[in-house]
Amino acid sequence: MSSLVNPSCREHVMLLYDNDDQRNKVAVKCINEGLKRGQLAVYASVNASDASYMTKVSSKITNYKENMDRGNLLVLSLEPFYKRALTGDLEPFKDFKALLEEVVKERTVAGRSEEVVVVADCADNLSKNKKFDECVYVERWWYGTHFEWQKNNLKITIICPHPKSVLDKNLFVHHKQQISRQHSLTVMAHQVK
Amino acid sequence: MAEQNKKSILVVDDEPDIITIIKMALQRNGCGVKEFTNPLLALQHFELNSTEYDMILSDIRMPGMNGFDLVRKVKTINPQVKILLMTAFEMQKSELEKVLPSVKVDGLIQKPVSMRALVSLLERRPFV
Repeated sequence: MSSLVNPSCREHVMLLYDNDDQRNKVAVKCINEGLKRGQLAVYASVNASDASYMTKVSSKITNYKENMDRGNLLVLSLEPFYKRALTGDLEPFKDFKALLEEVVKERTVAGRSEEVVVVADCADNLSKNKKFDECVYVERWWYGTHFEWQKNNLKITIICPHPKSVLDKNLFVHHKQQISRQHSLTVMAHQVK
Repeated sequence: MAEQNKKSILVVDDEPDIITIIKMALQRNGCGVKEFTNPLLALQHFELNSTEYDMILSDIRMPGMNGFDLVRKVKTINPQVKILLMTAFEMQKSELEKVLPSVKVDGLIQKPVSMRALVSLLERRPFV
């Protein structure tokens, strides 16, 4: 577990999960671990504007409101990202990148932790809905962004869940390999303690 | 400040096509518009004319200076001027302030900018 949000990790992680419960559990673990370490934790989800979904998730995030108010936790709706990714438009991702970089800069100046953990499920939803070309396009963008951040010594870890049940089907193994290649690390959710 | 009812707006975006569309829509709604594709030139112009504008509408990603830096500098020059940032994602002003406390925006508007949403923001009382 700790390796995923370890400051030296800074990986672009493909997190393969068996079911939604397991995915949410690991996502929350990563967010909580990041918060514990004083990192900025970003929970970016296609479901973030669904109030009942967020009630469930937020109840499991440590001191949710307090961390939001203090700017330790950012919850972002990826719904517009998803819709635009379906048309090959990654503009929201580029604005999000600009925002993150600015936040890191400001946190560094303020003497706060410059480390960030991002859990983002746009590509997850694309692979779940078998939009594999679009999914690879998004993950390829993350790959380039992660590479740039590494080069600039930005300590940002990106965790991208993906549904094992879909990607392990014989028909889709090729897509799984393509998606996996865009990441620096592949982790099985059940191995995350 | 511009005439009582005619709002004066400075639009900053590095994409000329977007500026043209926004400018036309604002002018149709009775606003005076000055536009810049270069944020550094926009800032220079604002330094000399800071009381002429009611509002600045700016993109986030621009070469030379990003929208966040532009907001910080503009508010230092004239804290009264309203600033709307255009973003391609959904975010509330209060959420932005929590993670970027030094960036004092008056609102965020989602891109592609809906002219109806923009005009309704301008018609709001108090302004923005």
